[in-house]
Amino acid sequence: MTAAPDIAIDVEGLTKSFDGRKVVRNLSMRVKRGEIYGFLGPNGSGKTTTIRMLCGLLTPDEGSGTCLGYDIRAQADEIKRHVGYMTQRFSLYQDLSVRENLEFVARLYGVADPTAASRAMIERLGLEGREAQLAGELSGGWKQRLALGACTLPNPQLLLLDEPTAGVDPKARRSRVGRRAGARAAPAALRSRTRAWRARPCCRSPAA
Amino acid sequence: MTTLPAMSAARRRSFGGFWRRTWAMLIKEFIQLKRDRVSFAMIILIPLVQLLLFGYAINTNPRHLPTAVLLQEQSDLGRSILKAIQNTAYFDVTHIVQDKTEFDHLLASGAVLFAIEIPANFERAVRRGDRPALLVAADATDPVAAGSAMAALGTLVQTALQHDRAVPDGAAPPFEIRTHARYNPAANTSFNIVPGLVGTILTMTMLIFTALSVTREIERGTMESLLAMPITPVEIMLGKIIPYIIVGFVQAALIIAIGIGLFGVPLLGSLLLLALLSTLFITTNLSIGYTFSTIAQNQLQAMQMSMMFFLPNILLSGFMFPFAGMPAWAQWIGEFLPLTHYLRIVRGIMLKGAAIADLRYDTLALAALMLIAMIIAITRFRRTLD
Repeated sequence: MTAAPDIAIDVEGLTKSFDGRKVVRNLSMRVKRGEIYGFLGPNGSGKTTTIRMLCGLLTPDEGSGTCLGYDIRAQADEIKRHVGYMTQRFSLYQDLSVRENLEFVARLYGVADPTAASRAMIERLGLEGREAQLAGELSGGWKQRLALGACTLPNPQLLLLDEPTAGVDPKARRSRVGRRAGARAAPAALRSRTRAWRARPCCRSPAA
Repeated sequence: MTTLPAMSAARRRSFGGFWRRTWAMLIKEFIQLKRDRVSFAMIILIPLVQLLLFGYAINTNPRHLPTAVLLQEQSDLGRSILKAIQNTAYFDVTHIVQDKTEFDHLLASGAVLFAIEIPANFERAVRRGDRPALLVAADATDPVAAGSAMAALGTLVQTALQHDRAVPDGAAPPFEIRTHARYNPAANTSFNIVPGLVGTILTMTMLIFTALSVTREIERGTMESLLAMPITPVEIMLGKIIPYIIVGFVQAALIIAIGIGLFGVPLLGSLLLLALLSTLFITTNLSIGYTFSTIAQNQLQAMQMSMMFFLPNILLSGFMFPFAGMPAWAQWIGEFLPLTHYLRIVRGIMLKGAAIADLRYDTLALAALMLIAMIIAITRFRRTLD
């Protein structure tokens, strides 16, 4: 634990290349706990790559730093325990039901009562009545909601959301369900945003 | 009349469209195939390697069968017979033993296929014209392996002895060769095939179950969130293997029950030992399948790897062709295949009543193969998306 306790993300000089093409070049950033931090950029600008480096899914070629005080190179296991990561592409099990997916996540994180935790999350997400439905049969918006529920279920200290509203209609975007679920769980959240969000000047703001 | 040319033009257009679309599809498939280099290499390599491997290794008229000789007396005639046996291409005298227990153990463990006993006072009995018996015990669990050698034994020994001038030309042999086909005296091939099928079916199903497990997660996109969660490669591997151990166990129980009930295959050994060692074999195959899954980049490659592994298991393990009849290098490859060891185990327990002491080597070999596969799988498992 090197960083100050009120710092959630503290990285310096992160660089990552794929096949000789630099995707992230010398990125440094510092995010306090309790902050919502937005991440803007056109396609291929390295938003997803950066998020993946922060949660230990990719190893940076250069640079170093901490996430929740844990070294992003050496302590990926600790980071995974405390970070909720919602991937850009739906990555829960399509052939498991809503409830089964949530229970699986709860068990992996060692949540005391996975059944109760998943039931509570289904309620919070407004997915009552759909708990037995296979995740693969849900519409795009519901899938996003389920994915958000799955990554907030273990009460992570930090939420990393990669385009959480892609494919979701504007009405659903404004719905407070998702935001509330996220904000309640995580004092700090980092979001990767599409152009539609660019107009909003809220790159960095305190959590609700 | 005016509509006809119009119709044919439309048909011509649609026919042209048919080929255009087929062509587009064809081009796309070729591009994808070209890009999947591993699959492309395997398309060339699989037939080449398999053809050369099996073409040279498979021999349905086996030679150099491992043989033990129990010498109950030290005599010139005994040594002459021993030399005669050694001189034939059919037998390969690997053990010369002095006591009966070791003689039986060598047969039960499958270390030898033949055991020839030259009894005490053999030479004296020959001299007296008593026509004593030369006892030959053959492991007949695999009738193909034992059959031709047994048929040839009498003539071969006789000719060799005449050549050695131990007996006069044209004379009847001064002793008789008494053969005893052990374990499967009626040479019932289903006794050999059914236990073999247990192993073959298990190999095929178990490999496929796990060979696709990791590649499927990658292709469906679930691997990314799985890797982002606090679970270790060992936990993922065990979580993926253990359910199929139960599936494999049920499958094995079903085949063995049918084998005993329908084909009348005996179960002379311990059912518990068979269950335990079958579980070990199932786990070994699941681990190997899982290893392929961590090496392959997609499900097609994983399937091809499984096939590449499955074929030698069928052909070089002693399931279809006698193991002892293969050249040494092919037997050496066979020793690295789990089915080779399981066939000895399952045939040993069911047909010979073999105990764990007889099957020690094969049990250890299976355990070693399982551990090697698991270690490769864990080290190969990519914990990041790099």
